[in-house]
Amino acid sequence: MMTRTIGVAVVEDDVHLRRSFERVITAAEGCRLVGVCATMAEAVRQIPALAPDVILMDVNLPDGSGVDCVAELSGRLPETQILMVTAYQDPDTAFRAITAGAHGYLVKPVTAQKLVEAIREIGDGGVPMSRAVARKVIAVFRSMNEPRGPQTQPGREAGPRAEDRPEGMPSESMLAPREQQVLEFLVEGYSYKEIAVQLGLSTGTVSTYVNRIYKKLHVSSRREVVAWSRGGGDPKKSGRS
Amino acid sequence: MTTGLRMGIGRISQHALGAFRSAQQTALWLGFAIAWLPSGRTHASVEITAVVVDGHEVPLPQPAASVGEPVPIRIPSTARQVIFRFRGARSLETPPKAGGPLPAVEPRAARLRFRLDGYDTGWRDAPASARAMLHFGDGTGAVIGGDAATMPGESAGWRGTPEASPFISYELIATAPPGAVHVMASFLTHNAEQVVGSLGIDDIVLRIGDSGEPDSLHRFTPLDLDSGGPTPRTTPNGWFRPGSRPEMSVVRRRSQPEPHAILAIEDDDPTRFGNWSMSNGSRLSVAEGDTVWLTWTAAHSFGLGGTLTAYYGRLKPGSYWFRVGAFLPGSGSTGVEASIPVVVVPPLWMRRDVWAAAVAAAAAGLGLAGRAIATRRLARRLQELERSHALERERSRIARDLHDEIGAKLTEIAMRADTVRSEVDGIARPEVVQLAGGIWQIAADLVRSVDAIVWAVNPAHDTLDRFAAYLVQSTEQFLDAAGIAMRFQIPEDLPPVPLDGTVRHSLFLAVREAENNAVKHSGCTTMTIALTLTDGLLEIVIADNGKGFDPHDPKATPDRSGLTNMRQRMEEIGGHCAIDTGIGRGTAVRLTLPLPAVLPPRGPS
Repeated sequence: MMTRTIGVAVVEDDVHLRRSFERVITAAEGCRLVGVCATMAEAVRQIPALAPDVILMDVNLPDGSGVDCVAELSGRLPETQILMVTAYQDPDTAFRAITAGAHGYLVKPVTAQKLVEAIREIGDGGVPMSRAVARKVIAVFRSMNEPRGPQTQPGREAGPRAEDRPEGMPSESMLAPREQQVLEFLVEGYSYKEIAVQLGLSTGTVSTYVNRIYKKLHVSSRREVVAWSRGGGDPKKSGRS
Repeated sequence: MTTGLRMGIGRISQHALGAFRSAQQTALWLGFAIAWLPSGRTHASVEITAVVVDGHEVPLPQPAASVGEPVPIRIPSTARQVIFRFRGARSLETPPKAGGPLPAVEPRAARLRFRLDGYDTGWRDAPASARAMLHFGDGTGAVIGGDAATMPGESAGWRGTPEASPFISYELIATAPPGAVHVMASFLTHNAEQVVGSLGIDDIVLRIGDSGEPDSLHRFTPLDLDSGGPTPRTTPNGWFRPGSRPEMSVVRRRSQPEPHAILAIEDDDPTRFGNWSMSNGSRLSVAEGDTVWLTWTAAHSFGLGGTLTAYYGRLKPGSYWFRVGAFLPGSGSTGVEASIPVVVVPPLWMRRDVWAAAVAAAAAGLGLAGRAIATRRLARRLQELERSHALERERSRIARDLHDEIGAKLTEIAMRADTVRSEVDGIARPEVVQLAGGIWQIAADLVRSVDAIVWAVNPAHDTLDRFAAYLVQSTEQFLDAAGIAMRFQIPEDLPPVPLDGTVRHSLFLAVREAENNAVKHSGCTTMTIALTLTDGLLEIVIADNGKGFDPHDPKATPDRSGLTNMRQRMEEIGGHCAIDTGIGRGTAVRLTLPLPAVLPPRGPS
């Protein structure tokens, strides 16, 4: 890969954290600070023109939720990777951010090193997904898959592999088998490296599959995840990935 | 070394004297007090050295602190035993000769008594006594029998010194055993540990008879002194000092009924005893079956000295003062006192004001308050108040406030510490870099603790599926940072069984404890967390592939308190914790909890 700098924009209302991020990004090799915003209004107005490679997005903004801000920006900047930053480990918020178009989720307090690592990883095309988010993702896809039949009994047999899942259309149209496998390994606790070994892939390829999963989720967010779970998939969506 | 000690005492005594002047009572000075006798050469001091609550020592305020109102020691009313340790000392000191070496300071015991105001109605002083003895000898030097009488505690009308006090009559009667050819008497203090005191003996008379009627009468007072007046070191004819510390046996002057010398013992050493005994020359002949009457009068006061321990059981909530009084035997009370205030507080869950306090404490100093205990109590608090609907809103608000205020500030501290660390890395000394890293670690840990509280407090998470999601997220963060691989066996479609904040939090902390123990002690490379719900029984197993331990060997068990905590946490919420391990075969912690009811699984209605 060519050496290029990663353009980073920061959306963070806390002045000290903002300065902290500014300092870290400015000092980090291969990173370039392109813009800093304190509010959602500022971010929506300024950031599209800056076209950053990566946006660091606080979950709580004074004039709105960071998730809304992600939804707003990801539509206008399809190539930009958005990294949510929050102190609150809430898998639901993480999931909502991802369906809104975020690509990663950083839990504060991060060290400067972790922050730079995360920016570089995501800037270089890496796509992180936490196990907690993977749990949510797989549950959402499953719920699309099984809305009409009786629910599987909760309990021992309801493992993540769900062998009893019908070789049916909707699920297969939503997630490719590899994507499904990657998700299942993630839910079981495997790291990208371990998944790569298990599936005989490179970690980069694992990231690619995760990115496809994200894209399907992003699409879903624009059409309401709820609608999917009610009525099954829209056949047109299966073409995207 | 001597200089340091001397100067130290001088400083402290000055300090204490200042307090005497200002206070009507004697010095109440953070557990340490000291006073000079009028002579200026001897002083007594008393010091409260430790407070132990259920086996754990509680930190005491430092004597170097200021004279103001001391901060009370807080003791939970659930404490089963409270122990105060204290000690007294007297020091003999003579002014240094110009240019000469400083004299050694020899601390010896002061008499001590103690009371816990608010509990004891008066001073407590354990029984201690002096003794009078009759010894029968067989003529070869061996003692073949004898008898003893005790002079317990303090004689009636005691006024600080024997000579100032009224003398009380005592009598000891013994029968000469077979083979006895002579008899002698002695007076001694007890050499049992801690006993110190003062004794004056007068009017000593021995009568010997064979049938209840004395046929010979021997007076031993007034004392037969060789020359001059009595001095403490004079040895009266017919007596000697066989005690383990001879100089404690002294001769004193008594002015009643007319001036004369008396035998006295000034015992200020809790490990030694003083003794006045008749010498061989003054022993009296007896025959088998003779009755021997020893009569004397005495004024005395005996009590405890040295290092003492006062034991108290369960104390009711309230305010107390533990006081220790010290005085010098034979010199009257110097009134030196040390005391510490004690507050016995009811456990948090018994207090009505706790809700406000818990929130205030969380807001004011969560970091200082400690993490797990405070959060557990907070969670328990919530359980009681949960019935009310208003609480739901209140909980959401607290969760938000905790997160926004404390969480954000702690995050800031961590981020700044990390900035400092990276700025000084390679420039400052390694300890400084480490220090900054340490600050980061503490703040980061606190962020996680606050996060767990926020999560527990927030009513939006009161279900099993939310619990599982949080568990996965928290575990993966923890284990990723520790570089340990993880495997989850947790169904994704758990039913939303209600789990209130208390249960969720205790369960979560128990799992976290198990994970912590494994990371810290097991040396494992993989950890498996399995969660199942079968017939209303929730089971969480945390298993590692580490080195395990022998569960029957208390020494080999790592971090016993961690294991105890887990058990306690589970028992508090009606659950159970079992550990399956052995050397070389990893450790599995199995947490089980019956859940009240299983709701139908989520799904389209």
